[in-house]
Parts: sequence; structure tokens; C-alpha cells
Amino acid sequence: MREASLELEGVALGLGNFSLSGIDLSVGAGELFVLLGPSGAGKTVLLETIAGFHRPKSGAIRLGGRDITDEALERRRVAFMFQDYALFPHLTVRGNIAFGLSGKGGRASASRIRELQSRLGLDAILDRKPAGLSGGEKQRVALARAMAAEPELFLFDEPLSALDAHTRESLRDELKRFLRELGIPAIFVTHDQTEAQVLADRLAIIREGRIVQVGTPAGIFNAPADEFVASFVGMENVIPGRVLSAAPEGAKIEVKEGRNIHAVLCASGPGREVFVCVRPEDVSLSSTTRPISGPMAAAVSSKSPNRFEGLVTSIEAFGPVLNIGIDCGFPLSAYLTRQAFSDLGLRTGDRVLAAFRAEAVHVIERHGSGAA
Amino acid sequence: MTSPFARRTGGLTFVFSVAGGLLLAFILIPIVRMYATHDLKGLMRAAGEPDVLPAIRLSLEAAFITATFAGAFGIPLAYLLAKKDFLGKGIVEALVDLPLAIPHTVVGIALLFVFGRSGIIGAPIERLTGFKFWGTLGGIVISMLFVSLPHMVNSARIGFESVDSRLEKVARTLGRGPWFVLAKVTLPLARRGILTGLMLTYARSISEFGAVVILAYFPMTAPVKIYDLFLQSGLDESSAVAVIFMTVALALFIILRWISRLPGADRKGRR
Repeated sequence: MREASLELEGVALGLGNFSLSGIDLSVGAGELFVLLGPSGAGKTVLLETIAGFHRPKSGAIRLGGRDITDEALERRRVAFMFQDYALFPHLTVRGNIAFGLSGKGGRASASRIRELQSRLGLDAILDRKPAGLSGGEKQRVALARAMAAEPELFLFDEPLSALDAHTRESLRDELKRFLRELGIPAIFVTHDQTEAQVLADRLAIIREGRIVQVGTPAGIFNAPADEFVASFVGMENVIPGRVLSAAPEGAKIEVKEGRNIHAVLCASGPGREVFVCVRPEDVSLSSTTRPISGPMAAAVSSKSPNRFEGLVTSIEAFGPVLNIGIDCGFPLSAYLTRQAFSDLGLRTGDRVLAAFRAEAVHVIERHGSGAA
Repeated sequence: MTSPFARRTGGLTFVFSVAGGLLLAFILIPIVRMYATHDLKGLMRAAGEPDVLPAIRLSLEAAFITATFAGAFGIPLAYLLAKKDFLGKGIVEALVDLPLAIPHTVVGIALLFVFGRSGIIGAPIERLTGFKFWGTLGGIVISMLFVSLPHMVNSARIGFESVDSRLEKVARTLGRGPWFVLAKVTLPLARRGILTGLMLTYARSISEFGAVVILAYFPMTAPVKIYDLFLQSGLDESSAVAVIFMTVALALFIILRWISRLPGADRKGRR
């Protein structure tokens, strides 16, 4: 574990409809950390609390060993990047960048501006006002402006969500590369799981003002801690069931009478109420009459103890794939490429065979009386 | 040329244009009519009357001083009303608007109780410093200030409210303290509202009669002088001075309006 740069200890706060409670968080030096959660979960409030816009009711915030819980905004050395970058509209790009250059002589600040402008490719727009800049230019100006104040931490509030998909991707890559070069830790707030996966070294899932799970993207996306995290990170299939048997070589979970799902890993003992999670991209479909074809065929037939016949209930375009809803006695979603879809010639109401490997199954204990 | 939408709303636009046109005529006709009754020679003669030009000058000076005071005290209050939440804010807002609802002669009488010769502030100040409000420039300014402050505070408040508070927050995170942020972000961006407030204060002060005439009949401001002439010499002479004064006031109004709308630092900003 890298040396911690930002530490939150039991931070709590009430603010209108929002509240945060018992937030413990640690972000390492140079780490890119993502706060992921649905709207209204309190992730922006948490970010603003770290920036100093709100004062926590209790708890402590430390940055690089300094206690900044009650530190004035201007002395925190925390850069806050709003979604639309909040550039000063009455100042030129040069004026925006120079804003944060404090206490230095004219020559020193001029050379610092030159360094930032060439690093971020702003030479051509230095004398322009922000109103006419493109999204990418605004992002670079905002980064240069923040850099001028020499922050120890970057905070980004949904930095890319206002942009179109194409711009978003290229700006995301640019941002990540830039932050990596700087080695300054950054926290991003987002509700977009793809963005979280791409940007994050580690991420925290926030729900109703609490941190539900912290981990690497792979850790969280493959092994969500509960059904909320599971459905939020794109585990479309979260199926309630009961453990029938659990042995080292595999577990069997009944999701409906006569319908059992096999899992390799299952921490819950027999009789426990659980959720069975399967990613739709791990479910393969084949015709009930024709044999499976394609590269997946061998894998599916030999390693899929989970094979269920069902009826196609819905077909929805979902980005580059199609999301096929199947009723197997329990609802199941599967992603099909357009090629596979046309090969199968599926239509609503068709019978279809759904299969997934026992390794692709993630089992979550249902807490309490099946509480959500 | 016209979109289907525009054509469908044509009837509405016509009716409203007629109503608006009548209103504009109502403003313009008396002014034009008054100008039409005087030729240049008559106006020159009126301007040569004793006390006429000094009265106009006094009006302009007093209004300028008033606007300065209004700015110095009104802008901070406007900032607080726009940017802060505090207990009793609604009461403060109502209080700021109160002078708009009081007849100005009543304002004059109320001010007399406070700033008059035996007023609770006027008397001790006169005793201590010899400075009098009653019948002086001080009294004129006090009267003008009371009736014009709401314009200053409300316009500046609208200006401050239009400044995105995120810009001020960002400015703080860039290592700048509250005063620096006020000077370099908030004030420049609220500039238009503040200038409008100063302009309205100035215009309102120049035109003030009711409160001024009670607290300071002398030295005479232009409106008081015109009233005085009207009582003593009649319509012809008073209206000649009125035309001169109005010309000066209108010219100033146009210049100030132009200044406050100059495409300055804040205008090319965010929408």
C-alpha cells in the first residue's frame, strides 16, 4: 500500500436532504480514486466537504499529514474542478491561469505560465476568453489554472458528464495521462461505471451517505459486496436464491424449484438466503434445436453446468450489443453481439438455451430478512 | 420571413404593441409639449436668472455625493443579502424596500425629527461640531439618500446574485482569500448591477423634491427652485427652468446609461 496522502476519519455531515455518516477513506500518493454512486448518494457533498465547502459535523480530514478539517479553503491546497470547469468568464485564459499564482514576482509567474501553457498546449488561446473555448480547451485551461496554485490533491465533480461520448473518451484519456504524469492524487465523482473502471486505481461505492465498498475496479466489479453494489456496477442478473449445498468443489443454489445454479465460490453455508450474480456478458445463448457454434462452443458445453431453457421476453439495443431478456423460470439477461444475434435469428417468444460457467457466478449473502 | 409561430402570435403582438405605444406616448407628449413652448432665447434668459444655474449645479453635486454614500453603504448590504443567509433576512429586505412605500413629504418630516435642529442626531452633532443638516447640503443629501437607497441595494443585490458562487469557491481553492476574490471575481462580475444601482440612485436623487423641500428648502436644488418659481412667477418662468434642468438631467441620464452598459470586462462572460 502506498503512503496515504488524503485520510478521512469518521467524517459526518448533515446538509439539507443529504447526510454523510462515518466516512473513512484513504487515498494514496498519486492514486486516482473514484467515488461511484447513484444521484443523491452524497458523493458530491463528500467531495465538497474535502474541498472545504462544507464543514463536517464530526471527524477529521488530513492531507499529507496536515489536519485540514477546519482549514480555510485558500490554505488547503486542494484543487476543485467543477463539471463545466467554472472558468472566470471575465478573464482571458492567461488571466485565469495567473489567478492562482500567488505571492511570486512578475518574472517567476510569467515563466510559470509559460511552462503550464506549453505543457497543456494553450499557446494559441492565451488571450481568448473562456466563452468561446471547446470542452477540451476548457479542461486544459482549468487544469493549468489549478496547477498554478500547486495543489496537493485534485477533486473532480463529474468532470466529463456534460460532454458527448466521443469527446468524453478522448478527454478522459488526456486527463488520466496528465494526472499520472503529475503524480498528484485525484478523486473523481461519477455515476458512470465505465468511467469509474477506466479512471480508477481504486474506487468507493457510496450509497445514502455511506461508503458501501472500497476496492480496485476488478475487485468490486467481479465481487460486489452486496446486491446494491452488484446491480449498480452492471451485474444485471441479481437472482435471489437459497444455498442447497456448499462444498469445496462447488456450490448449488436453488433459485426456483427445480432450477439450481452452480457456483465455484460460495462463502455461504447450506440453507442461507443469497443473491446469485451473473454478468450478462457471461451468459451465452444458443438455439434449442441447433448446436452452439463459434469459439465459445467448447467452453460453454464443457464448463457450463448452468444451462437453462427459456423464452425470449425482450430484445433491446444496448450500445454495441443487444440485451436479450429471457424467462428461465427466473429472469436472466444476456448480451449478444449483432453478429451472433443475426446468426441465431432470435425473436421475442422464441425458445432459447442460456448457459454460463460456474466460475462466472458470484454469490452474495442476503443480509437480515432479505433487506435490499 | 415570419415563422408560423410568429404569424400565429401576430394578434397578440399587435394588441400589446398598441398598449405599449400608448404608454410611450404618455411619457413623451408632456416632455415634447413642454420643450415646444420655449425658444432658445427664452431659455437663455431663464438660465440667466439669479439662482437658476447654481440650483442645477447643487442638484447634480448633491446627487453625486448621495450616490457615493449609497454605494459605500448599499453595496456591502447588497452583497450580504445576495450571498449570505441569516436570521431576519426577510425583515431586512422589507426594511430596504420601505422608503419606496412612504410618501416623500412624510420622509422629510420623519427625517426632520432626527436630523432637524432639535432632532435626536441633528442637535448633538450641531452642538459638537457646528455641522447642521437642516437647510444645508447635508440635509439635501440625507433626504436624497433615504429615498434612493432601495434602488442602490436592490440593483447591486441582483448584480451579486448573478455571480455564480462556484466561481468564488474556485477562486478560494486557488489560494486566494475572501477580499481578493471579492475584488477580482465578485465585483467585476457584479459590475453591471452595481453601476445600474448607482445610476438609478443618481437619477432618483436628482429628481427628489418632497423630502428635500422639507429638510432643506434652502439652499435650493433645481426641483425646489422650479417649485418656488411656479408659486411666485407662474408657469412660463418655471417651465423654462424646468426645460433647462430636464435637458441637463436627460443628458446625464443618457451618458450614465451608456457607461453602465459599456461592453466591459463582465459582458462577454457566461450566459
